[in-house]
Amino acid sequence: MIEIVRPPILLSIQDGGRYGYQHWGIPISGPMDRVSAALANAVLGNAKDAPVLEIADGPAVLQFHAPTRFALCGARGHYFINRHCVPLLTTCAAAQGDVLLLHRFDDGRFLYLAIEGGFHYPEVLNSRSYYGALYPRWRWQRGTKIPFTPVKNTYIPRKHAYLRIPDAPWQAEEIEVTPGPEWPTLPKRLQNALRTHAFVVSPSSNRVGYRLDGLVEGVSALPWSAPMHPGVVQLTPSGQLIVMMRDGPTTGGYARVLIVEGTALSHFAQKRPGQPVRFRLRK
Amino acid sequence: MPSPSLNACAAVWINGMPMHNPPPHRILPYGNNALLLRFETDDPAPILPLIWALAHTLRRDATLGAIDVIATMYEIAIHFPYGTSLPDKAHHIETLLQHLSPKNVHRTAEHHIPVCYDFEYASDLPGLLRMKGLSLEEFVQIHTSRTYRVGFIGFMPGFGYLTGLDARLHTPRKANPSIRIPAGSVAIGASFCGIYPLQSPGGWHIIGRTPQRIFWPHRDPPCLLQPGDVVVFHPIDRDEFQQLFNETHQ
Repeated sequence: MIEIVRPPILLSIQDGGRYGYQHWGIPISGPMDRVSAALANAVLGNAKDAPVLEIADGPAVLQFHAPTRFALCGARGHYFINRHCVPLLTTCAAAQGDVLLLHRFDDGRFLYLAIEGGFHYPEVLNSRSYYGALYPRWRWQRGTKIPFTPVKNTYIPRKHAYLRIPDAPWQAEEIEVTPGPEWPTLPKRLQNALRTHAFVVSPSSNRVGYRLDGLVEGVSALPWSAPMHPGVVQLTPSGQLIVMMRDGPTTGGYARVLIVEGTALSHFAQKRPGQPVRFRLRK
Repeated sequence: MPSPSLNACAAVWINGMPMHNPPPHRILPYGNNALLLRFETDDPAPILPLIWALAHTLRRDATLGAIDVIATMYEIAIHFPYGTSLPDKAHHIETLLQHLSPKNVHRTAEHHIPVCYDFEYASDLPGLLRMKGLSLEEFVQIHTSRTYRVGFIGFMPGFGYLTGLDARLHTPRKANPSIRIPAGSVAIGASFCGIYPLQSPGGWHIIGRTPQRIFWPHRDPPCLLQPGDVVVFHPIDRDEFQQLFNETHQ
């Protein structure tokens, strides 16, 4: 198992997500940056949806209580195991008692720790993605232990698989979007503003939603609550943009002006408060 | 936990509406992997039974292959796996809509929910009574005399939007949402009534609390209320609340 010695700001286990329960108000959840989580699993030969540890906004300290192989992917930073540097997207060995120090996150918000074979974590409604309401007794704190099946031999051949990906792919300011259901009803000048303005990620951004500042004009709320989804960009009457994220509510009452989907949503999730974002409408 | 009495296929079909003539609607793309079925209406109440039945059918239709179907008062979002051809699915949904028959109506349950209106459990009730010029007895009488129907589940796990609130109790949401609303709180928001299944922040006016649990993460289904279900409230005092609370939260 792995023990949390020093918890980061936000920590959770996530797998491929919980589908088929949104009509009961239960969000899909899953990794904020699905691309990085899947890559961390891919390095180890795990299924791409195997449960990984999502570590947000570092720093954190974790200790291995059994030998295993692991891989990191996601936020760029300074990561060490027993004072040796840990590169991203590389199979690394950990012995019993080894300490993983996630010292400082330099770029991006979410780091994924994948373990060979995946973490063991209780399944609720066909998924192992943590969501508070479904795990009322679970606490992410100092001393919390998450089990995994130890590997007998942690030998890593000199020629082993590794992945090379573009450096921090989320650095581009532009985020690709598709028009939302209420886009055609927006006045032309608001459509132009959404297409051209640079917005800034607000500090009150979390797994539920990211707020974007920079627009001054809003539109009236919907007459009734409507279905929502991760990636839907809501525009409030006061001009605040809220991008629904993985743990966001399944329904909501603001105009759905744009939708961030797929890889773009994973990249967007890595944006830190204060970073600029521009929307590029896909034709 | 009390087992709700099931009225077999409650008469929820739309009165006099011919099946081959569904109400005005549009099917829009909702991103690249989902469709949005929107009914064009100013008053969703008459089409709600159609929405419940349709959402149920869409969820169970293996040929359609939807991974998530979310229904609200006037829209149904239908999500598909990545790479699905949406025009084909829109066509399929249109066909389903034309051929939907009353036997698609799902079973609905009736729930009798005890509510304690004591101010200790109803932080917003004193202000609401002042605003409405009602006495506590009048308020409780109005609130418990209605039969509510679950319009849809949304906002948080197991939170049912109950339709049928007396117009005298309609109240706009609070300007400043409360940070912490206890689980079981019964609340009013605009024309809806609702019960908070879990502790949460929220902008509705708290008018009481029920000792009844309405969400269990490890049960299938996890929520007590389902769209179309009937809900009736009855008042209890503090002692009854404590007793029922201890029984249901062991």
